Amino acid sequence: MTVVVRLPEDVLASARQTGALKGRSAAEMVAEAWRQYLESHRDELAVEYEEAAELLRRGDGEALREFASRSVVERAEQAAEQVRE
Amino acid sequence: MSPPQKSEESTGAAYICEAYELRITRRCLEDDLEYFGETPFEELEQHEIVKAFVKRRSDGPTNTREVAPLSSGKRVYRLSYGDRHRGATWYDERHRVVWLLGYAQHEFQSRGDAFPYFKELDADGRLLPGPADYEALLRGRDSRLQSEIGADAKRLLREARETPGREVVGILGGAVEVTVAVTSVESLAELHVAVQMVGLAKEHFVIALAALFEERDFEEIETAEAMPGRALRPGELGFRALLD
Repeated sequence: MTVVVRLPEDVLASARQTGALKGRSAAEMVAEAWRQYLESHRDELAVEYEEAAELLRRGDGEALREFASRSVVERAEQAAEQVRE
Repeated sequence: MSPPQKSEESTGAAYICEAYELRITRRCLEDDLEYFGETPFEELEQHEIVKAFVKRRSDGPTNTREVAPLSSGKRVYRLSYGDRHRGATWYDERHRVVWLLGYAQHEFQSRGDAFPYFKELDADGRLLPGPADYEALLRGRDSRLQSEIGADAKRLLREARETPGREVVGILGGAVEVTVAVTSVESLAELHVAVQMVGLAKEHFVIALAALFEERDFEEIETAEAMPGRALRPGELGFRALLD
C-alpha cells in the first residue's frame, strides 16, 4: 500500500511545480494533483471503490476500519514530520 | 484533517471536544504520569493534571502563560493544578488536537522545577508528539469514520433528494467534507457531489465516494467540472452520476 499512497505525492509535486508557475493556490494545486491521479489510476481506484462499496453493503465495520487505516502508518509519520518542520 | 464532531466525551485515549480533541502523548503518559499506554481516558481523569487538562483545555485550546523559550519554537502553554502539579500543553491546530506533552511536580527531583524539565525534553526532541502518537490519533479517527460514514451519507442524500437543486453540505465520518445536490430533468435524477480534497487520505475519499454513490458502479460515476449553478471551489473535485 505504501506505493499507492506515495503516488499522489509524486503527482502533487508535479502539480505544485506547474501550479506555482501559473500562480495557483495550494488548494487548487492539490485538486489538480488529484485530478491527474484519478485520470491515470482509474482502474486501480475502480477496484478499491468496489471493495469499499462491498464492505459498506455488508456492514463489515472491522474490515472497513482496516481499509480506512491502510495508509495510517505513512500518514502518522508525515504528521510527525510536519510537527518538526 | 477534519475536526471531531461530537460534543464533549471521553472515548478510548481521547477526550472529544466540539472543535478539537484532547490527547496525552505516549511519552508523557508512561514516563511522567506512569500509566500504561492503553489506559482509557476515563481512568486517566483520576489524575490531578488530567483533571486540570480536561477542565481548562476543553474551554479553549490555549492559555496566556507559555513554557518559553523552547528550542522547537512551538508555543507550549503552562497548565497548573494546585501548588505542585504542572503540565505543558500544545495546540496542534493542523490536526485539531491539544496534546498534554509533559507533567511534573514543582520542585521535583533535583531539577528544582517542572519547566526546566519540559525545556530539556524539548531540546532533546522528546517533548512534541511523535509518529506513535499520530498513529493512535489517526486510528481513532479512522474508527469513527467507519462507524459514522454510512449514516452520514444516507442523511445527506435524503436531505438532497428532499430539496432538489439545493446544495447540502456535510462532513462524512468526521473526515470528508462534501457538498451534495440532486437535480432532475424530466424523469431523470442526477446526483452531484463536490469533495474537498485538501488533507484527505485516499482511502477516506474512496469510502466517501462509495457511501454517496451507493449502488452505482465506479464506471457510472463521471468527473464534473462544476456543481449545478456554480464553479468548483479551490481544493474541490466534482463527480456526478444518474440515480435510479
